[in-house]
Amino acid sequence: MRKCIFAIAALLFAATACDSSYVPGYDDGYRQYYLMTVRNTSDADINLFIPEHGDVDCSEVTGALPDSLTTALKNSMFRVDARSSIRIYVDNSGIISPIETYHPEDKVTFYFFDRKVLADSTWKTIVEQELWLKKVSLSAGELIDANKVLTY
Amino acid sequence: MKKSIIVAASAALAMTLSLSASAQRYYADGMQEYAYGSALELQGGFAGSIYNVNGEAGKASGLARGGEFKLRYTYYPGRHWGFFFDLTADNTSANGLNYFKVLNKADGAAYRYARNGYYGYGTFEDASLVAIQTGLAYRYDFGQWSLRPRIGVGIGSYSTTSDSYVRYKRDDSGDATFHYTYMNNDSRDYIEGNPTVYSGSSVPVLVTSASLQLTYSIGHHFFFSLEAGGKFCPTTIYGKRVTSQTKDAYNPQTWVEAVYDSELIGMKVEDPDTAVSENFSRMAGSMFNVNLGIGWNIGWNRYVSGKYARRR
Repeated sequence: MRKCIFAIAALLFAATACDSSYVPGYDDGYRQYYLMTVRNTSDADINLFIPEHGDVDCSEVTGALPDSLTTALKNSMFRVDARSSIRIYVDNSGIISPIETYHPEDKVTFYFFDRKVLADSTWKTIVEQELWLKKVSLSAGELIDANKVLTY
Repeated sequence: MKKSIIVAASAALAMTLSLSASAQRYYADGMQEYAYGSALELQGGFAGSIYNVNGEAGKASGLARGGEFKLRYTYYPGRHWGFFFDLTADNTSANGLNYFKVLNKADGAAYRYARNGYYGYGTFEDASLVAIQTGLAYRYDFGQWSLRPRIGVGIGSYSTTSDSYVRYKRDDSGDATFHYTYMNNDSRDYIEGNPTVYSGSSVPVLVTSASLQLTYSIGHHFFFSLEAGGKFCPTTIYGKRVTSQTKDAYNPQTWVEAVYDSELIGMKVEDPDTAVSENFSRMAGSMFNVNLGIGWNIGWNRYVSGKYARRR
C-alpha cells in the first residue's frame, strides 16, 4: 500500500516537474496583433498584394505567380475568395512581413488582383501592363478611420 | 495505517466523552448543567480600517472596507470565565471613488485622478491580516442569550499592497503624472512591464484585540452570534513613492504599429526617464469588525447565571 502511494506521489511530482505548463505565469512571449480586415464584395476570387516599402523589385521574380514569389512577397499575398473576408494579423515572431517595413507616416499601397491573372502572368508583365483590378494607397490614419476595413 | 486511524479515532472519542462527562459536575444544590466545557465557532462579517494619506495639502483619512473570517475555540472552566484561541483572516481595501475623494482632500483638490487604464485595474490600498490569538473570555447568560466580552493577544502577519494611478493637474498647468507606491518593502522591483505592485512579503505583528459577543442558543448546543470588536496591531509600513511624468501611449515605430496600436491614441503611460522617488513610512494596523456567526457548544457547557440560575 505504502509503495503504491509513494509510486503515485513520485509520478505526480515527476509530471509536475516536467510539464512546463505547470509553471505559474508561463508565457512564451508570442503575440498576435490584429491589423485589418479585407472584405471582398465581388463575385471574383481575388488576391491582395502589399509590396515592400519602396519600389517593387521585379528582378528576382520570373514566371507565373504566386509560386515564383520570394518568401517576403508570399508573406504579403492574401487570398480573399468571392463574397468573403479575411482578417490580417502580424506577430512578434521575428519574421518581418513587407508591410512592417513602412514608416508610421507612409502611405501603403494595396493591390487587388484577379487570381486567374496572377496565375497566368509573369510579375514583370503584371507590373508593366498594370494588370491589377484596383490600387489603393492608405495612411495608417485613413485605415483606422475606415475601422480597419479594406473593401473591394 | 488502519491501526493509526483507529487509535486516533478512539482518542478523539475518549476526549469528547471525557469532556461531556466531566461537564456534569455535581454541586451542593444538585447537578449544574452547562457548568463548563468548550465552544467552537465560525464567524464571517464586515471588517474596516482607517487609513491615512499624506498629500500636498495635508493629511486625510478614509475608511477601507473588507471582510473577516474567524474560527474560534473557547473553553470555560467555570461559570463565567474562560479562555479562547482563534484564527482570524482580515482583508480591507480602499478603492474606487471613495479612495480618490480622500486623495483629493489630501492634495488640496489640485488633481483629477484616474485609474491607470493602460496597466489594468485593481485596489489602490489593500491591507491583510492573518492572526492567531489567545485571550480571556467572560460570559454572562440570561435565558437563551449570552453576553461574552473578550480580550486577546497574539501574533499575526500584516501585508499591504498598492496600485498605481494617473493624475492630472486641474488647472492644466502641468503634464499628467503617473503615481505608484511600493508598500512594506522599499527595495521591491516592479513586475516586468507593469508598475502595479503587489507586496510579496508581509510584516510580523503583535496583535491585541477586544470584542463583545452576543449569542442566542437554540437547544443546548447550537447558537447564533453577533460580535463587534477591534484589533490593534501597530506596525510601520515602509515604502517608496514614485512619481513620473506621463507620455503619450501612442508612439508607433512602424506603419503596422500605427494601425494596431490605435486604441492607445489619447492615452498616457508612464515615462520612466522622469521618475522621482521618495521613501516614506507610516503607522498602520488597526481594524474593526462586525461579524455574524454560528457556534456549537461541546458538552454541557452553557451556564445559566444570574436570576435565571435560581429557576433550576
